[in-house]
Amino acid sequence: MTETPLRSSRRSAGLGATTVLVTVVVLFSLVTELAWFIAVPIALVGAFASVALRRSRGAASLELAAAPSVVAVGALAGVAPATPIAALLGGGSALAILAWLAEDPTRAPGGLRRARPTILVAALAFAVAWGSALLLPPAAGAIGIAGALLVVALVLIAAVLGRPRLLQAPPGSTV
Amino acid sequence: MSEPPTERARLRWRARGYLLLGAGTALLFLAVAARDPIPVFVALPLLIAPVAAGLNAPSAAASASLSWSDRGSGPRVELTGSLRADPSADMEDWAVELVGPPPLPGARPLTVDWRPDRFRFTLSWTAPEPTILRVTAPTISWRDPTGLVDREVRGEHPDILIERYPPELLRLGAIRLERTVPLPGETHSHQLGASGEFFGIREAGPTDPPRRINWRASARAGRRLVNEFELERSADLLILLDVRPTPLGPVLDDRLLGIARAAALGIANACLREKLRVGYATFGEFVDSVPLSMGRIQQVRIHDAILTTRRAAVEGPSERCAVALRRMYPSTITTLLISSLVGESARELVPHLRRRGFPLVVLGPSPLSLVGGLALRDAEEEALAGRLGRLDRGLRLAETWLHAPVVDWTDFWSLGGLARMLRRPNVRRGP
Repeated sequence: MTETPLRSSRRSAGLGATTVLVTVVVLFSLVTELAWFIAVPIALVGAFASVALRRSRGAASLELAAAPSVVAVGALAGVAPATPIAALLGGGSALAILAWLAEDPTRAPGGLRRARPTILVAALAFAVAWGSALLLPPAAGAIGIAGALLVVALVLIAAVLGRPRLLQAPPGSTV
Repeated sequence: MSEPPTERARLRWRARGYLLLGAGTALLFLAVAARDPIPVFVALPLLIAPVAAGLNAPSAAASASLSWSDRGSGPRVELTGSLRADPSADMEDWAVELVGPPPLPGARPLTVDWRPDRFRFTLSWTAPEPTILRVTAPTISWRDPTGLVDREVRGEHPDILIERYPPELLRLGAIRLERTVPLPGETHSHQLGASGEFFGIREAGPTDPPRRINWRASARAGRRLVNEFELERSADLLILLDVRPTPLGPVLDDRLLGIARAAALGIANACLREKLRVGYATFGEFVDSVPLSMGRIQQVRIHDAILTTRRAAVEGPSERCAVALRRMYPSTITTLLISSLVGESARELVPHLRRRGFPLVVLGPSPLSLVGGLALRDAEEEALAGRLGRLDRGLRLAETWLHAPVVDWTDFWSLGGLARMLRRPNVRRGP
C-alpha cells in the first residue's frame, strides 16, 4: 500500500501573517546592497513560493513550505550591509517566518496566539543581541552575542525549574 | 511512596524544525566566513525557536480514545471519527494524519471540526470497484503551534475495514446448492434456516424477510408466522480464487484480484449467514485452503484468509490445483471459481477441475471493464479495437462454457447474473 498522507482541509489562509511576512522581507530586501529590481523579486519569489507550497496538497510541500522564504532571507542577509536597520529587518524577517508558520490554515484557529511563548523567546534573544549591538561600541560587539546566549541560558533554566518533572531521576530498581 | 512513572512518548523534531536549525547553522557559518554580522541576527531566531518549541511541549504523553466508522453506502465510502482526550485536555494543538488507501478517486480532503475538548474528522471517497480495504488508524500527535516539534498521543486507535461488494450478495443466501453427498444416508443438520426441507412454523421476528412469511398460517393465527427449514449440511460451497499472474501485468492483475477478493468475501458472508458450509481456497503456485466449516469462527477464518490473499509470483500448473483440491474437499462440492480467464493456463484450470468431478461455476471479472480506451487517434479505430477485444473475450468464454457455466462479470457493482446462475441447479453442473 502506498502511503498517501491526507491532511485536513484548509481554512482561509492566514492572510495577516502572510502580509507581515511579505512586507518585512520586502523591506529587508530594500536595505541590502543589491539593486532594488533584483532584491525585491528575490524577496517576493521566496515569500510567494512559500504561500504556493502551503496551498498545494502534498504533505511534504506543506512541511517544507517555509524553505523558499528562509532561503530568500538567507540570501539577502549575505548581501546586507552591517547596519542596525538591516540587522533589525533581518531578525524581523526570521520572526515573521515563525509567525507565518504558526498561522497554519490546516491547524486549529488561533495558532499565533498559542505560539506566543515560542516566538517571544526567539524575539527576546534577538532583541537583546540587537540592542547590545546597537548600544555598545563596535569593539565590544562580542558582549552582544554573549548577552543573547545569557538570555537563552536563563530562559532554559527558568523552563527547567518551572517543570520539576524534567529534573526527576527515573525511579531506581527495587531489590 | 513514589508515584508511578508516567509513560513518556518521545518528542520529535519535525522536518520544518530541522529546516530552521539547518538554515540557522548555515547562516552562522556564512557570517563567520564573510565576517558579516547580519546573518547572525537572522540565524538567532531560527536556532532558538525549535528549542523553545520543545520546551513548550507537554511533559507527558497525552492519551486519547478514537471512535470511527464507515457511514457510506454503495461505492461511496465515508469515514467519520471523533477523538476525545482521556483525561480531558486542550486539544487545539493536536494533529491528525490519515495514511489513506492508494486509490482515492473523488476523495475530498480530510475535514476536521475542532472543539476545545474533542474533534471530529471526515474523509470520503468513491470506491471505483468492489473492494476490501484495511484503513490504518490515523496518527494522532500533539504538535506545537509552529509545527516544529511533535509528540505522539497514546491510546486505543483501531484500524477500520472497508468492505464493498455488489448488493445482490446480501440476498444470495436463498440459493440451494448442489448436494455434496448422495441422498441415501444423508445426515440432516439440527440447525434451522431459510433454505432446505420444510421443518415448521414460528413467530416472525423483525429481521425475517417477507418471502419467508407463511401468509395463510398468519391469516389463520392473526399474527405473522414464518416458515422454518431444516438446513442441509450437505449443501456446501467452495470458493476458489485463481491468483496466478496473467499476461495483463501486475497492475491489472492486482485490481482484478481486489475485485475477486471482494466478491469472495461477499459470497462467503452470504452463505455463512444461511448456515451453509463454506470453504475457501486460492491457487497460485500451490493451493492454500480453509477447510469446509460453518458459523462465525469460519467467517473469521475466511475473512482473514481473504485479507491475506495476494497475487502469486510464480504460476503453478493447473492440474496441481485440481489434484490438491481433490485431496482437501469432496469432489461433489459446488465450486465457484473466480478467475479473469485471461491466459491459457487460467482457462486450462476449468477442464482439470471438471475432470476431477467438481461441479463448477466460473465467475470471470472482465479486464475489459478496467482497461480504458487505447488512445488511438481515430475514434472509429478505437471502437473497432474495443469490438475486437469483446469478440476475443466472448470466444474465450465460449470455449470455457464447453466445460462449465461462466458468468462474464462486466458491471462490477452487480452480481445478478451469478445469483441467477446459482439458483438454476440444472445449469450449475454445466453442459
